[in-house]
Amino acid sequence: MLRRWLAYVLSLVGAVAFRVFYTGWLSGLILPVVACLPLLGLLLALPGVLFCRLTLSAPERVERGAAAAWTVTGKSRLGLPLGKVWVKVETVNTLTGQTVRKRVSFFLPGSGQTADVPAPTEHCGLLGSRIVSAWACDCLGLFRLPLFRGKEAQLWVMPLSQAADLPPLPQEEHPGLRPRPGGGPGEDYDPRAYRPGDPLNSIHWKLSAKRDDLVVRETLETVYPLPLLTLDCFGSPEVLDRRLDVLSGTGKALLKQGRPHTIAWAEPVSGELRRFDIAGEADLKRCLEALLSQRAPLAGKSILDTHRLGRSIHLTGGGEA
Amino acid sequence: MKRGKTTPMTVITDGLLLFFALTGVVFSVLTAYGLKADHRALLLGCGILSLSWLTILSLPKFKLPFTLAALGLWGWGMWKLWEPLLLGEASVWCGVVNTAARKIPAITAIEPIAQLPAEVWPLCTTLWLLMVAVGYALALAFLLIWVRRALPVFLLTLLPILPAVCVTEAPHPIPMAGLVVVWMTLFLTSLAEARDPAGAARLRLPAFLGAWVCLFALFALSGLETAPGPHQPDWAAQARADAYNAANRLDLSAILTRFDFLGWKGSGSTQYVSLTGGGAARTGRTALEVQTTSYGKHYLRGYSADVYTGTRWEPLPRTGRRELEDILKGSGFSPLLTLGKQTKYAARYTPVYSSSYFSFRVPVTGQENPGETMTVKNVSAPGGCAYYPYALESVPEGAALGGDSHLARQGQTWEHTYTFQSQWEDINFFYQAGLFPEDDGIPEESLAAQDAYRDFVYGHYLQVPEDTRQALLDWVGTNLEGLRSPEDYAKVMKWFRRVWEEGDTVYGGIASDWIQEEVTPEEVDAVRTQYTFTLCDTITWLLADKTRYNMDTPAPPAGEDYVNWFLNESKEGYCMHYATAGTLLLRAMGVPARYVSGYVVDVPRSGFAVVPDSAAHAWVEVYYDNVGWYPVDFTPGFQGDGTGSLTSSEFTGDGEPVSTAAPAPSAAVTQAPTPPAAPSAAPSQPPKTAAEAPGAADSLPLWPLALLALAAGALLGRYGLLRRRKRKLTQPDTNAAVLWAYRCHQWLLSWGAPENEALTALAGKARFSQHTLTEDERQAALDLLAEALRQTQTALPPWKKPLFRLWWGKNTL
Repeated sequence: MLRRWLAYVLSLVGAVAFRVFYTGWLSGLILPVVACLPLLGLLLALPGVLFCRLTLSAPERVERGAAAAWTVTGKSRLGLPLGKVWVKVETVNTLTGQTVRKRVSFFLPGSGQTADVPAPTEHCGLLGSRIVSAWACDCLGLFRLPLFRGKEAQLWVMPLSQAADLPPLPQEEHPGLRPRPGGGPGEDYDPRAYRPGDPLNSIHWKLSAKRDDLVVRETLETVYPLPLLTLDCFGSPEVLDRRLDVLSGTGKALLKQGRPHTIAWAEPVSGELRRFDIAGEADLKRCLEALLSQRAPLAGKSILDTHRLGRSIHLTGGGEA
Repeated sequence: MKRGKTTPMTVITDGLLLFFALTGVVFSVLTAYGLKADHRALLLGCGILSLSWLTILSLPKFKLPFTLAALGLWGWGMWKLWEPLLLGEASVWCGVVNTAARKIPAITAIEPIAQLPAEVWPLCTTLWLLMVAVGYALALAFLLIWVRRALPVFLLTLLPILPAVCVTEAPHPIPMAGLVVVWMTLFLTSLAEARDPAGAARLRLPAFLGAWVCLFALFALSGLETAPGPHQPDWAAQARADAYNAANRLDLSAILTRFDFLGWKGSGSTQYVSLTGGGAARTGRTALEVQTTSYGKHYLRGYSADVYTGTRWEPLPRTGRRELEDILKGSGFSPLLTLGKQTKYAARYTPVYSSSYFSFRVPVTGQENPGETMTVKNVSAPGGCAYYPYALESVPEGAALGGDSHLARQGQTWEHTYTFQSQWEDINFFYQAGLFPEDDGIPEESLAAQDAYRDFVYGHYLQVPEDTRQALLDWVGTNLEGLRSPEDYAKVMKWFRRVWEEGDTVYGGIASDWIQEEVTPEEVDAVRTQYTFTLCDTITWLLADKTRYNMDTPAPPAGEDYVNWFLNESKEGYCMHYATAGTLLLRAMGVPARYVSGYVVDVPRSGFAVVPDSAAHAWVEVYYDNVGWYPVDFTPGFQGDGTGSLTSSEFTGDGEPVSTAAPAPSAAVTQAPTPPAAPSAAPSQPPKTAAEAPGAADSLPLWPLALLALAAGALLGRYGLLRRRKRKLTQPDTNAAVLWAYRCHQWLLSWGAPENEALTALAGKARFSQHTLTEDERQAALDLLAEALRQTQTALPPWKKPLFRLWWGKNTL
């Protein structure tokens, strides 16, 4: 554009000099023509600009570190070429909060054109992208005209699968017992003190008589405990990447073994417990998407401090205690 | 070269532009060079050629065979029509040369040798143009359809009409407009043209239509006149005058005179006279050659200037010029010929050489002065005006009246023969109102125009800026007692007459009671001529007494009023100063006057004189009722008459001229006007360097030149530095080269480069080891330095990177 302006200014200076030193009528025509050219170029470019639409698209998901790009597609419905187009794309990683802006320029012919803007896939997270600014030049390449910007696009950057060396997991042959919600008949039960609301038929009268206090029978059921994987959802992007890699790898490994499991973490700010029972690939994907789409600050509340979940495996991703 | 996809729209727009470009060029050539040809045949030929080449170049296959076949056909046609083509070529070249000859005196007009009937030449010209157009159309089509670049097409279409444009001959407006539209369309679509021909084709059509609309709007809104001749707005004319004046100071005249069609010719007469830049450069070149039957001193008049702005003389504004045109239109009256006519009338009466108020009307039958002749050849005098002596009897062939200010030179006529009355100089003594017969065959319209012109003169030629007027009156002081206005003078004269009639004697000047006299307008008009003469005499004496002639007078400081500075501060000047001061003093005292520039020539008895450009001069014209404009020279040393009176240093450049109090010029007279011009007008003052001329720095600052010189020096220095660095790094002594690499790296540290231990080790080895480093080690050092350069540049902030590249270069290593 600078070169074009330089060329135009030189032309204008030449036309003025021509007007000054050339006394014929021709110089009276050339000078206003040169002066009017930018206006004409603007007017001529306007229809193409007004009817041009830019759209942004991307693949649904990629693994961390894989090459991916936002595709900017431009097309004028009138089929008029727009010359050079400048597009600035802003990408925000929801998980890490990192923002990257990249600029791309390309020639937009009447038949339309696409251009790729590299997506920052070095860290996991949900990448949201939008066109911050889009400009096209006029017919002479002297002025920039704003273009309509398309809708936002998003891209999941999924963690790599890195299985962790897990400690021995609870075996199925050692099931545990727990009070059955709603009670009911059962062979196994535990006596406990009466609490208001307990049904009368659950009172163990004989034992109550012995203890001189109301004791009820609490029916127990056999449970097979799921492996519980926990992690903290805060830290630097590199640390988070490692944790998520381990989580993904471990989850997949467990599923491959046919072992359903649970993944839990605490909201780093509020401390609220987030828990996902993973029974298949779809559950794992849903869990990872929930993780990737939330904001992870550099520091926050650990699940180990806020909740007592009993026996669990806490994933750190390595490199930390 | 790869061509984009061809669509019907592409073909249509290509054809449209090709046709308009080809037709525009052919008809522009035709009209610019004044060629005669069959327009219908040319139009048809252009259409066929455009269609043919468009079809051939748009074919999906077999373009080359078809092109070769067409060219073969063309060659065959050339062979068959060779004779008439030669005639056509002669005709065209004659048109081209004659067009140049109209503007450049060094070129002589030519005519074809062949004696053919008049109707044959247009046919031959048409044939030649069509045959040339075949090849030209192929080149044009190739650039338009294949190359698709605006600039080559622009240059190719400009080339044929460029010679005509260079000599200010413009083509006819219609083909030129077509050509301009093609240029506009191409430039407007140039961005998309090469990359997306199909899209550009969709853009071309609206661009083409928009360009036409724009052009029509420009014609309609600006009221652009397309008639031949000069058309320049005031600002452009002023800018041109300023540019030429600036060039004067740089003494570029020797170069610029080669481009005389631009209006430049060195010292002489111009419409705009800049007073701030000193006089025009004088090179000693011949400006005019004069052959006359009347020897002695002659004033050869160019332009007169009418409006004083404090820093320049200008012609009348546009409204004034239109008013004058209305007065003179169809009247047969010309203010420039009045002096000659009245001189001729006066010759019928007994001349009474007297400055007294009373003169006698004594007719002498049969005594009519046949007049003298003078032939003036313009060799290198500037402007579009003809230089002529005073008291012209008629407008010569090859010239035309340019209002009341000059005689316009016409076409390629550079030599004019004038008939003039040589005894004009005493007409102001001789004439008084009513002396000449008023019904001497003068048409009524002419008399009415004469009266209207008198009113016009008193309305426009008495104007003085108010500040200047006051400064002039202060300068005059009490020296012009009784001469401050025609009314004052009439009162004084009446008082004298009364005192005389009463038998009293006046000693020691006039008494103050003259002011009590009552005078009528008729009495004022009756003494106006004598008043003007007396005033001129007195002002001449005053100027000679209070100021000093100095050819080397510097320009006044910026912002200073020119005449005020001359009269009250510097008190020295040359002809421009005296003419300006005289004009304004006369105006301030109620006498119409104007500034005139031209040449003064002292013709020896042989009747032939060469006028150098150093003879350029400025003087004043005063208006006498019914006599017209009459020259008065206020410059000291110019008041003498007759052969050999021109001893002024104004011409010789050595010594100060002898100042005499005698008034009025002498020699032959006539009057006339003319058109445009541009450069500086006044003569005198040798060229100065910028440092010598105080005013020069105001209008032509030296700092851009200094900056350019500095930039050029910096570039040269950088080039030398980079070259030296490269030489040092590649010198045969590997140890020294490695040490240089190390030194360069040390310089790089100041740009933020990290330390490089490997390079330091190599440098240590080069410095302290007994062995000579190998070529590989030198290359390793260079690689390390290159890597350091790259890293440093990458780490620099964006604003520092250009500086870094400037200092270190791109390919230092």
